[in-house]
Amino acid sequence: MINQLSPRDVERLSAYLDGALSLRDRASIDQRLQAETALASGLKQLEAVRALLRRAPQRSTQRNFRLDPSVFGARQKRATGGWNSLSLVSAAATFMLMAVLAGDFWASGQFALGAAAPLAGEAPSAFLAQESEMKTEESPTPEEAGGAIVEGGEMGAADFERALSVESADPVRTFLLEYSSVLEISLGVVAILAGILALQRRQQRS
Amino acid sequence: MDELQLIQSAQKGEVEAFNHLVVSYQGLAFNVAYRLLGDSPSAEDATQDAFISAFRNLRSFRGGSFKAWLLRIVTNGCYDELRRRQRRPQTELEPEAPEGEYAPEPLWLADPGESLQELAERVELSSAIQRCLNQLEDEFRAAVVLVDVQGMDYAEAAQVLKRPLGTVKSRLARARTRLQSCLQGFAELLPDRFRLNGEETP
Repeated sequence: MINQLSPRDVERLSAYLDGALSLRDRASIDQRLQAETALASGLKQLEAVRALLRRAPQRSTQRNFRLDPSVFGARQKRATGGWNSLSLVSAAATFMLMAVLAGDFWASGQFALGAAAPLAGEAPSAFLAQESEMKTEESPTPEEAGGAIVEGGEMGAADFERALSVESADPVRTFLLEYSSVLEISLGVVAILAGILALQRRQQRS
Repeated sequence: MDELQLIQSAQKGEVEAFNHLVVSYQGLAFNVAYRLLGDSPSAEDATQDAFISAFRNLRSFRGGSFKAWLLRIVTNGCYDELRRRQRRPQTELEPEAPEGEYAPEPLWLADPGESLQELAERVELSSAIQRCLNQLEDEFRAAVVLVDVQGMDYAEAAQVLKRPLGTVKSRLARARTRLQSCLQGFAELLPDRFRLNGEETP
């Protein structure tokens, strides 16, 4: 009887019945079926159950499951637009992030010249201090060195003044420089979250 | 148009192409739903919901067995309904027939060459099988319905259930064991040729 068999034997018999055992396992069951009466009886019972289930009548229904084109045709066309609101948010946030990054790069580039100028202006005294510690035989005279540096410093100062005037006239650049990192992080987070939510909504629908 | 062409057309939004697929698979889908849920009205609703869901998500079908893909939607919908029933048990307003069958359906007389006795035997057999299926856990019932009632092989059933082959084998074996015990209780009600005496294969 099948209830006397172990769950493992029942599972193997069931698979044996369906031809779903490996050749080795099938050969093992074949041997055991010849020797074990309970196993042979269990196989016959499983066979009978399977045969009965295969005779289970197929139900029929008069209900028509076809979809109404006037309803589903319109819906499908709207759905194939391809974008839901979260996808749009994600795309917009990504675009704005790229714009902020570009603006940050642009604004930083404008300040690069002015930012270097103060250092150039301070360089003569530093250079001279270094010069005093170095060998002086072949070194340029302080006047020669300072003059060369002063030239660069004068150019740097002019740039710095120009940059200052630009900064005061362009609040956009100032804003980008001061808040660009915060904007970039915020927009990045919004873009990622919206993208994840849009993906989850699509997966839920499917 | 072959099935692949119908699917491709349906994926572009052609409802009529999809309806050809509906006609091909609605019988199978309904029968799987019926055997899982146990009553015709629920099975009809589940089948309709499954086809609507399939049409709306057809773009997610990436090839392979459309039958398995569709039946997975049917099966999952039935699981949802079964879970919903467990959370909110409902009392039918109109009592069903004692055997648990829906109201008498003239469609049972689908075979004009069938005698009344044969029809009665067929109804009794179906009723007995369904009563025993209803006693199984959902996962076991699904495995035996797909393999033994609908004739799928293990691989196809594993695709539908999204479970490993070994899990399908195990569930099927346990389902068959329990059904054997349950159907023995109906032995007296079943015609001789349907009785599980284990001596011969019906």
